[in-house]
Amino acid sequence: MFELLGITPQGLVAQLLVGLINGSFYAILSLGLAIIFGLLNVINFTHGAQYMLGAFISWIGLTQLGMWLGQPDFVMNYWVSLFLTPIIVAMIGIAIEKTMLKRLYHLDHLYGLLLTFGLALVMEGMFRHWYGISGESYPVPEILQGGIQLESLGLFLPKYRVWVIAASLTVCLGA
Amino acid sequence: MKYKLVTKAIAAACLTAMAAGVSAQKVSDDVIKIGVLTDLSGIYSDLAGQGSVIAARMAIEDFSKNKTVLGKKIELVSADHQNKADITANKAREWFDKEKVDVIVDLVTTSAALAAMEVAEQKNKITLISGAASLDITNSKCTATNVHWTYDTYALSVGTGGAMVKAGKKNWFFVTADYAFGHNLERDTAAVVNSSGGKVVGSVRHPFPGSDFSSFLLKAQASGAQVIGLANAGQDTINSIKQAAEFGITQKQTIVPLLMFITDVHSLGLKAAQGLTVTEGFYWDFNDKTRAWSKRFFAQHKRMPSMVHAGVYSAVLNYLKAVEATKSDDTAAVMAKLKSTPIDDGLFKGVIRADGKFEHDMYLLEVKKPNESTTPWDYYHVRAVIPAKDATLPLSKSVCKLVKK
Repeated sequence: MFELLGITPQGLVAQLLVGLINGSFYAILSLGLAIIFGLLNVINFTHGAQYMLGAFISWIGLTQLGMWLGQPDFVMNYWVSLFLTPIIVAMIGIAIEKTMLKRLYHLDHLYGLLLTFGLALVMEGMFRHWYGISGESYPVPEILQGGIQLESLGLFLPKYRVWVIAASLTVCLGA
Repeated sequence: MKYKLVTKAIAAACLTAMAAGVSAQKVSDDVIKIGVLTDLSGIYSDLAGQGSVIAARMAIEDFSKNKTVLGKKIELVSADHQNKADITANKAREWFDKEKVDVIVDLVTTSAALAAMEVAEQKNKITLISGAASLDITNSKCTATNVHWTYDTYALSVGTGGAMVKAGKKNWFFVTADYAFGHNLERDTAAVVNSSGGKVVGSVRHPFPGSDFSSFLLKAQASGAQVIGLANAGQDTINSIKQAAEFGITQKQTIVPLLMFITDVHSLGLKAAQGLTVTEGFYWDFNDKTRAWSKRFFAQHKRMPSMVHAGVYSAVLNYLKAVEATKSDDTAAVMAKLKSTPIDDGLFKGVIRADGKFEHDMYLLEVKKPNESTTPWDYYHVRAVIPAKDATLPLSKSVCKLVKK
């Protein structure tokens, strides 16, 4: 059967594992979308942009903030950032809701969709203008560096990706 | 006798003046309009993008302080082709038909470049390609109204591919961007590998643009090949290299980005990129002239130029020189002038061949280790200069319809 598929059993399991990891990223992403739609009845197009905002705030804290403050040696702790960033992004979300979205509740869904879509474009445009399109990366804390060698699969599983699965499962089951 | 000579001289002067008068009117629509059609928002916008617009503007200002040629204004327009062939073709048509654009420069994606070339050929206008890479641009799909300025997949395969095979890396697997450029780069590199006794054990194609390459990289890893050749570019290459390191693939196999720009090295960081071999047509820190120009570019863009930016500058500058020399913006006349005048503008030196390929030296570069880099953007060791003749497909092997055999 595996000859027919053109892949070895180990290869298949490795690919499934990678699929699970990527699925976890999407699970975290879509969970927020589902909750917002469920609670507020708003199709939140800014969700993706806010997801990006979270990543950027972490990156800024871990690599840029020191320079901004004039103390190049200052680096925010990864775990502190993991706690603070969601709060900051939530504040931005609250600001958007209170100042703009709130006024549209009595109107058709489409207006909320239009507003959030426009906001998403604005946010993406701003960050593209400021930071370009190249990916930026922040240092991964020591405990999550490296990976686990799965000899039987011939696969080297990065610890950071395992951490993503764990975090995703926790959030999804908790919600 | 003397009287006759004077008459002759006056007659000659009058004729020259008349000729000049007549040709000066040959600037169509009383304006020379240059269109930079490039990726302004997508995965290639760091290596081309706004930098290409700045490079074109610098070329115009360097050519003439008050931005005129033959007494006519030089205008610059730019647009985002989004790396899509249909958008590119539409924009090119609009520019040529309605906006009086005479020449389109840059064109970063091969599929987009080929689309613009076709429109330009129909409308008898010029394309000067800097960003796109495929050999087909001046080979099987060549047009008489096009110059391929900066580099092509042939040069990349000879440069990086050749260097790797020479270093004993003979067993290859390709991770290829699934469009014209990726296919061409894979084809040309596989030819170099096969002809020098190497072997290609397989390849996998990823969607363009991609973001997650882990499943393709795992396939490459399972192949057991010595070398994983990345036949992709820009952000795709950066992400492939990062993810290969993340999955520990780099410990046993060698990752070879077949096309990489200095902007990619900047984004990756020297820690991740050190030791990689790349082939480029321009490096800012090559000599005094390239340094002087690049510093002026840096002052405006806050980044050092990629070879694509340098190519756009050189293309625009030499186009304007050709317009001035032929005293017209007539496509055939300007193209003939470009192809008959050796180019040496401080950034590139060489000749434009009958098939439209600008034949110039290429550089084989190695990315420095973090401790070897002394100043910002000090990223490369120049390992070899690949002579122009070796970096370009010999005309005897060309299938371009413009090459007489």
